[in-house]
Amino acid sequence: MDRKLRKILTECIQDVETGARDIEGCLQRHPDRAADLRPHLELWRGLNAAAKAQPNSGSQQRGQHQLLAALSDMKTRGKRRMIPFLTPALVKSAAVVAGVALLAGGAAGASAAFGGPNVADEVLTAVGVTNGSDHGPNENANPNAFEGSDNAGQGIGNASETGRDHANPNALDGPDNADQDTDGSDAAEDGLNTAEENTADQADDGLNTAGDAGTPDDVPPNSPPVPDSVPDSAPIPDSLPAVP
Amino acid sequence: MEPHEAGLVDRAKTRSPEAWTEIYTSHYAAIFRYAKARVFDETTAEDIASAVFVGALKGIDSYKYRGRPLLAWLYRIARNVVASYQRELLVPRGESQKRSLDLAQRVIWHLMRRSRRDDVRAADHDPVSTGSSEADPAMMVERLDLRDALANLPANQREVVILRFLVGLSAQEVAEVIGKKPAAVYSLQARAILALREQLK
Repeated sequence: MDRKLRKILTECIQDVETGARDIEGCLQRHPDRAADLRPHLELWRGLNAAAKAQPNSGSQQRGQHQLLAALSDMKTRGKRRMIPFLTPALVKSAAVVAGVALLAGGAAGASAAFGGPNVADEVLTAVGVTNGSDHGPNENANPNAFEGSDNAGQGIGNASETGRDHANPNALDGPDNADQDTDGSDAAEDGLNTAEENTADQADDGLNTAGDAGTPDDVPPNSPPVPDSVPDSAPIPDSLPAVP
Repeated sequence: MEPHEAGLVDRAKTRSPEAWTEIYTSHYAAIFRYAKARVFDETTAEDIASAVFVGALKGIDSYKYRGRPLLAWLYRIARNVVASYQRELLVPRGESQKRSLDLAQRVIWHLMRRSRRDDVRAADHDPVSTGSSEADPAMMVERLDLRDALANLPANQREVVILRFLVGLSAQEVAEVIGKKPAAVYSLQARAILALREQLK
């Protein structure tokens, strides 16, 4: 590819877009390359002038209703899952106590089986819990109830957090630059791909996209099937459009 | 713009219906256009656009606003949903019996789409020729089968062409959305124009 032409074209596009000069002005500035430049700038102008697709207002409204219904559903589920008096701190401390009681119960059972001392009492005393006389640790221990509540309280919104470590916002830049930069100078010329930008991107988004994770987002229609083992760490909504 | 968006994100995190309505109405058209440019089907694009906002709702708690436009985040979700859609299209998930049936359906769908591509040049199916002027540049664009042309572009150039020309963002906005400098967007545009022009020859 003609690198000089590309450089001039970049300059012209920038000038035209920022209003520094128009296409004719740009061609006059590079008379020796005007013949090469003109069709490219005409194509750019044609693309730029093309009308943009307009969404159907009915579909837009339906989508809005779907969104608000999902919002309402989320609110309802959030309230139902989190019983008001079970604050996360309370739930966690109760789960810890129950866990200790369960451990003590197991140890006591084993100890009793071998004719040893009452380990349960010792463990509970050690952690500052007084054991009641008529109910054993096993009766107290029901960690599932507490843990279940805890999970429910945290449930919403976790889908987007999974696999954040895989995030790679460079998915857009990487392969193409590698393909085309024959002289190694383009990265500097373009101002593309600084490490700082990439790190900032990764932190910014708060979710992991398939593109970020390096999953191909540009699968052409006639590509071979992708194996099932493709990591699918993306926060995909439940309502993925059905295949026509 | 930034303080307003920061406040909007805060309200969205509290599940404010007004905030979500504002986000939806402000960005739906851009997301729809992006989806349409990627899947070339209006109904699918509408479904994808809706799915993007539902996905945003689910992920808003882990999103942190740091000055980049909210559209940048929605765009990333859209890319993600489109990629998942395309994966689903090629690789059905689920039980094996259903898989073979779906695969056959998918092959038929692809064949239908390919034949439709050959005979459809009507304005309402071509995202760039819609409403084009009769001037030479527009005719030039009409000669270009944008579906194939976009498919042949490298991913970063394709994304810039879509966001810049089909979604209608300015170079500055494209730069913010894809997280690059405006100079990089101009350069990617130039590369894409050179590649598209090659396809016209």
